[in-house]
Amino acid sequence: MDRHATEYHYRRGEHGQVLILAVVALVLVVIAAMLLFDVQTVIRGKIKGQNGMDAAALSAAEWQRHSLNLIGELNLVRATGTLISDVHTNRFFANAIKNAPEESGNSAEFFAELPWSIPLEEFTLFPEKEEFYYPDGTVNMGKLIEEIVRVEKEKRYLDALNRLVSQLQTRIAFVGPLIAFGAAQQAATNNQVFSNGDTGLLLNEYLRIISEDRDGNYDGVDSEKVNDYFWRGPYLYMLQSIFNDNKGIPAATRFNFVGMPVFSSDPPSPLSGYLGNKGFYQAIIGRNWCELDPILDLDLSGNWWSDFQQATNGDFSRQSEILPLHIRFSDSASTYDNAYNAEAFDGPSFSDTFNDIDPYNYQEAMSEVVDEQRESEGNKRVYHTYTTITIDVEKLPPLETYVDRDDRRYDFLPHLSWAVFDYEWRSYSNYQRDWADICLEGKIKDGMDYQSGARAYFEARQNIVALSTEGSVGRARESSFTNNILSLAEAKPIGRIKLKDSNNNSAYRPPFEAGRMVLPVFDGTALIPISLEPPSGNISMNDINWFYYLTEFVPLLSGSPTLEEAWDRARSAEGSHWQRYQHYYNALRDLNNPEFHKRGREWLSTPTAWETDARGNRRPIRTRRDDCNVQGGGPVMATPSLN
Amino acid sequence: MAGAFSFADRRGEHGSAILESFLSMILIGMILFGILQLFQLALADMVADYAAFRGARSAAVGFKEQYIDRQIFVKAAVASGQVIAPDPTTYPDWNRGETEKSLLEDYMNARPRHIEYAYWHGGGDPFHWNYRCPQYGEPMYGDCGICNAESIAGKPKPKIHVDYSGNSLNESIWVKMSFVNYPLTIPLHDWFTGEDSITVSSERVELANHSSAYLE
Repeated sequence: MDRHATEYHYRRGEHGQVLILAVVALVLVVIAAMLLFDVQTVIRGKIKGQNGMDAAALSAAEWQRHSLNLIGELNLVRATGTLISDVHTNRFFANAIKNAPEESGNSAEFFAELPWSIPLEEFTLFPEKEEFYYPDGTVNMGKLIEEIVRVEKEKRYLDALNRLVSQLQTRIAFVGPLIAFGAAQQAATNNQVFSNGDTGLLLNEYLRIISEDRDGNYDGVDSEKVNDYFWRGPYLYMLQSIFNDNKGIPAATRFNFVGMPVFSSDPPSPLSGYLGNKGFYQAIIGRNWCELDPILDLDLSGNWWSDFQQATNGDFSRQSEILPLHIRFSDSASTYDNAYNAEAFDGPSFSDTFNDIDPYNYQEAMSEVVDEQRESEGNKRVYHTYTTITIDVEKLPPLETYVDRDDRRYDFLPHLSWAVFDYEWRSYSNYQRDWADICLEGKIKDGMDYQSGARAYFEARQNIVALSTEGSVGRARESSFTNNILSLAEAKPIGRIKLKDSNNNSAYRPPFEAGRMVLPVFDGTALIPISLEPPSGNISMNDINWFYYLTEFVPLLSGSPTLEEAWDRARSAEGSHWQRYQHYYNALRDLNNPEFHKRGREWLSTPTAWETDARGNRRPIRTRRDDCNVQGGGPVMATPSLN
Repeated sequence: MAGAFSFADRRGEHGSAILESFLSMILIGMILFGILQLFQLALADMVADYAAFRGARSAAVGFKEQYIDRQIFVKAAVASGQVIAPDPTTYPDWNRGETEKSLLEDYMNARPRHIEYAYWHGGGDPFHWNYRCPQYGEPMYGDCGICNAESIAGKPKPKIHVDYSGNSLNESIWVKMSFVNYPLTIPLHDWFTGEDSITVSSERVELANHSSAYLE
């Protein structure tokens, strides 16, 4: 054997010693790198998700703002159009006929048979007053009837204008929020937040409900037409386009919609509302004994769900159900009167609201018209009488066919229907005020202490693909980080209006205090704390599992004596999505288990603080139940992420 | 004899393999630990950036400073060492993921169920002390002696420091957070730094202040 061969043979046993170590080191480094990469991916996803939802909420709130301002502008157009018309004449006739004797026939006869002279001061409102009198002072009936016809035509024009304005406002209330919704999706996509499939599933369910219900099943609402606006086609088309353009719905919102499941119990049971309350299930799953405390002593071994009836929501909101503006239409005279009396239409008020940067140049002209009107009229309640007569514009007969005093010839004032803020717009509750005092840095500005009906809430649920395994991610994955990232944000249009109170003092007030009339006073948008104004919708677009649970499983409960039987029926149903909501069913099973209740009671009664007496004996002075309800260091409040 | 010759010939190399291995192991160990230490610091740095971002986001919608601190502390929890209160070994049903998450939520909601991490001390949130230290009332969990100590076992105590600027009148706000005295826990770290700890700071995160629209 030559020397080299021997040496090779001798050192062969040493081969790989360092290699083993190097491999071990390499494996460690790779695992650590994967962990680091995963954490970085999750953090990046969280930051992108938050930025994406912030951008989505702000974009949507901006479009809500534009929509509200446009609707407010159209209220002003309506007011302006009426003011510049010949309402003086109309009002004269309306007043005259209102006081007319019952037996009067048609207009000509009525005026011919007037038992009294028309007061001269009323006629002062006529610009052409002399034309209605003969030189001997008697009324020229021919001219008068001619005038009546002219006024009627004028009123019809105004009715048409008002109707058109209402239609435009309704159109905006449908289309504006959907533009907001689309803009939000675009903003989310631009921030690299992409759709997850679940959001699309729920939106598809919604589109199915909207498109299938063509039988007018919505309570009290024409299912095809709202204020002459055929909403359904454009609504469906826009939603479908938004879905297609963004390959899904990256920014989901919460909403209430026609056809969604609702629950009731008659008489109300102690558990009323729990069955359809997702937070209730989350409390069970999370063993949140503090939240469950009120029901832990109840006997739930029977079929306690038999008290509940499930139905579907039949209320259609007459506007976009996604990001709704929460406006409605009101015929009330007080709408205009209150706004007018508070000087909501006055130029200075608008100018103040917009900090002298007034994009609405017509407002001063508008103010002049109002002042002129007031001056000439001598009575600012110009519109008071019109609401005493209800007009159905749809059924207007031709002028020649008028036959009795109940028809339109006696109704000389136009039909006005103002777009007003719905009751979702309201002043902060005491809880909200307290919350703001405790949690927020600074006092809320005057006139800003209200809950906005138009709020843009968005949430994104991103699924992050992790390189490392569940075990090796270890601590990071277990505690703060998961690969299912939820990001939330909420924004709203910001606006207030300067109004005069009963003491004639001007102050900033919430926009809905101008007779609840929508006016173009929204001059900005801002992100707001979600806990201050929680989203009003009951169902999240991200939550198809919950929707399936409510629509597939819960209805089966009512006819089943046991949970298990309902579950068997749900699993065997065709097209069932039972895998998606099994955890909710498991939560109900937990609730039915007496051991679960016992465990909760034990947890709540565990002492958390003791005192020691003089003999050295310790005795508990506090339990976890006490800790559930006692404040410490700050308010007990729902701030899941201080967003 | 070829084998004897060979053996004799290599006698001078006795131990060289061990020495080579040893040197290689040291070299590889240094590289390995160095990389792991860098990874640990990179993790803390990323977490600090994220915590500062979330703190700034809370500030942007108008939360008070103590809640901003609370937000930052919670988001920094993943790089804040072990839970020291409540003591996990004595806590009933302790589940690292769920219990910590639940306690962190309670901490955010200002409920008295308190949680404390080893590197959390500091910050401006008086809530931290309410349930830990006798001078603020009955201690609820664990030992309070650690609260005000400047050092533990002769080593500087780690803590979180938050810099924050902005109020409702400012158009923007900024937040910066630091892990002060962040422990270097990987072996051999002092070969490189000569220190047992280091300060890890986030970027200065600046955001538009939305609360100025509705707060005075």
